[in-house]
Amino acid sequence: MTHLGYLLVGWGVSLGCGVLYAARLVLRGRDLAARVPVEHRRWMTSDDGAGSAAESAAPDQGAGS
Amino acid sequence: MSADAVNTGSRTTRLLGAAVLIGVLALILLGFFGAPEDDEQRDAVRMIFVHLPSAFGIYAAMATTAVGSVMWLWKRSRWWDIVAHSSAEIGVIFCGLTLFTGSVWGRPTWNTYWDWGDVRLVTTLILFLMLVGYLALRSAGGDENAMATRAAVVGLLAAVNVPIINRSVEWWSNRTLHQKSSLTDGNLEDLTLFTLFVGIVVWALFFVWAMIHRFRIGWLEHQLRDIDLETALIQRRAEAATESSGEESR
Repeated sequence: MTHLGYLLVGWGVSLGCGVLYAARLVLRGRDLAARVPVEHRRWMTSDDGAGSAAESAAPDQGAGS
Repeated sequence: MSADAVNTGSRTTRLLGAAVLIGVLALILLGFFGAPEDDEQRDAVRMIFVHLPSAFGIYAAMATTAVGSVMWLWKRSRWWDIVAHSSAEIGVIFCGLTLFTGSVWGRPTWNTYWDWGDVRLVTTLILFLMLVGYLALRSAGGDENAMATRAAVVGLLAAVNVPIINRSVEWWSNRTLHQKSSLTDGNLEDLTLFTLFVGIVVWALFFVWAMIHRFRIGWLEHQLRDIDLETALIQRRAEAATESSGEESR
């Protein structure tokens, strides 16, 4: 394969940035969700999967879930 | 995991996340082993599968930021303000990746990482810097409403740049190294085109996944600010009540 170095750098940085940003979002979300009282956690769910009801009942202006 | 663990995920985001992971695996397989090499560019053409979806991601993010900014200026709805902020943050990542992958792709195909005379490169860099400025403005602090209004104006100015970036290869066709359109010029092989669409779909799904999580983070941050303000007000009232009762007893 030609230009393998360029391809690995380009693809690696793209996918790596995606993974790092995704991890940052998940961790920041966990941190914030733990600090906000339950009644203020609209759209939030717990990891036991009990969140689907909250999700379907959630937004008053469309998306977000 | 424990039932107490809370996060910004939901069934929707978990499904989206799984689809993105499967899509990325398919993209790697198709991009490196399925799609044929190009007659001129050889294997360097495989960079298109990450470069072009990132560029499309900019368009999606900036359109969302523009809509969110307009709605904030019109309705003063915090919901729309958070939408605009969330998509701008994701947009800066897509924009950075587009510049980076384009630069890395440019070296083997154009024999240069960067050309200051290329209007598309320079206008994309301007958009990137505007988005960085947008995020800096957001983190500057101060009155939340005033900050949202200033950010909305910057967001709209940045969004104006997007059609210029898109049309620049036609408006300044003698001042660009870019080809006119990879999708419509008919030079791509069928499997290359299919892989490109897979890449665009994967990036689009990632954009939606990230938007949902980032929006919820913005919402929680807003809730925390409200709670902190409320707590401070209660404390101040309690202090004032203690002071006045002390003065009365004297």
